Amino acid sequence: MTDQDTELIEGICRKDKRSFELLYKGYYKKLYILAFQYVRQPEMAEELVNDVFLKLWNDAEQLNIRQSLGSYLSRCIINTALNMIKKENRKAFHQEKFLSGYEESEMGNDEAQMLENKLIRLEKALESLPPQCKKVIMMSKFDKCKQQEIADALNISVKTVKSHLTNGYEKIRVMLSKEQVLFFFLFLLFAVELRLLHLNIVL
Amino acid sequence: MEEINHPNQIPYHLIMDEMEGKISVTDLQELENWKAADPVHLRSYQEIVDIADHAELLTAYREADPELAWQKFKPSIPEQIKIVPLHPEKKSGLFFLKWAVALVMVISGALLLANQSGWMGSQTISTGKNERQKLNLPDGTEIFMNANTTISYRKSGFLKARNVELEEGEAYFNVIHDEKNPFSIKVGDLNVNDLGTSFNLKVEPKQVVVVVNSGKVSLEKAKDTKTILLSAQDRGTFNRETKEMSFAKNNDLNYRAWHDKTLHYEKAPLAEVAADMEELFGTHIIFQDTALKERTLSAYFKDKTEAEIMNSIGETLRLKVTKREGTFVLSN
Repeated sequence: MTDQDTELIEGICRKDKRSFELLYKGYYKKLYILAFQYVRQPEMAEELVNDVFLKLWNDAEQLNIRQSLGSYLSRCIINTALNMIKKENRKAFHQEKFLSGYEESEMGNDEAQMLENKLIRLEKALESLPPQCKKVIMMSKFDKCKQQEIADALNISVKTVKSHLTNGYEKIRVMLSKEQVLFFFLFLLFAVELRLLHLNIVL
Repeated sequence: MEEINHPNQIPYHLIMDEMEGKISVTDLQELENWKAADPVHLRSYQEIVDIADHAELLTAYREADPELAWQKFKPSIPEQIKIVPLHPEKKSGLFFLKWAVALVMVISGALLLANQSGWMGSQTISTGKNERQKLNLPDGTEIFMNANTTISYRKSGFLKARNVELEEGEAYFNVIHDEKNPFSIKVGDLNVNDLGTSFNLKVEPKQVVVVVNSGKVSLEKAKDTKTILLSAQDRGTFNRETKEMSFAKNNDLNYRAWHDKTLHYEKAPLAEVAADMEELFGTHIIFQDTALKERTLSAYFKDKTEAEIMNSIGETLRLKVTKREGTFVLSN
């Protein structure tokens, strides 16, 4: 855990509301979006995040966080979301089987942070598109407009809308996949370094 | 790095139409063919779908307001006075647990008494949509109930008259044999009398189907002397409209798959496998090429998940299996 997180958790153990507030505001956005990715409903996602924070407030003393606070909270969000989906799910039991498979995999990743990073990269990629192209994509995804509606609103043909979407998506895809390769190499380097460090300690 | 995909190779127009949910059948087929042609295509497709999905998340992300959320959340934080326990090793949870145990004992004691005095009368047990349940009767008979099944019986005097009613659904019976005291199941106008066996009994909209696993079962109509005797691996049916009874050798290897989680195929066409998967798991399978439905499968699956079975089918028949939004697509 980072020093700041440790300090805040200590504050929460003393029931210091100011520490709690700082932690809440610092983590809210990424935890919210992680929850949203699962439940797809704003109110539900908000409720879910609040539940996890309440649990943190009540049980802070018993916490034994080995990895980062981010990965711990991500895990809580994902598990709570899966439970919520299970309860809500009126579909057959096989869904449960599938979901439980996810749950058992104990990934210690800071999923919320990873998702947030992805979204920020996507936002940057969107910003770099030509204005009209960006506008079409924004309308299609942010305002959920149909191709025909976009064409009418911007006074262009559906064919032009399609070509904007095609160019836009392709540019973003290429940009992101190039970045991904870079990230992968950085990750590899990092992993190798960690491995060496670890070996040193063992030796 | 070499650019593998030229933009004009990716059928963006099809993907965009699919996202909007207004793609035609022939276009969808074309898109599926493209996806199946090369793993690189499938990866590009996935990347594009992810971008679209993340763009949607980005909207929600932008709208999230920590300040506002905190203001709404603040009042629900419990004001706590910290209680320092005198004996730190004793957890307050245990105290609660003691009371909970005591309460459970009192309730179960009362239920036991109620049971013995027999005033609980007729019992009705139902399973819900996603639920399966095992029912142990007082005589040692086991009933495994499938989903959406209702069974009732009288608890008092059950050992003297072993009568059970299957009101709806499907159940697998493992009956303890007692010559002097036959076990009888009433299904509407049909009585299924067991002569010591295990069998599957299913109420379908138009008929009642009995498949015998071992031993003997007799079927008889209410207000009628006509009976049919079924032996192991026989399948008896009762038409609920014409009230006709008939029987034949059972050739459905998987009649009790829901119960023993076992699927067994000997040269079965994939269309049949798909129908079983639909019934058992609710799996929806799309065949990219209708000729695939005729391909035959010989396989034995026990306690496998939906995904494991689909992957295994893919490996055995060298087909490509892709999963999208809960639907499996089988392609060459």
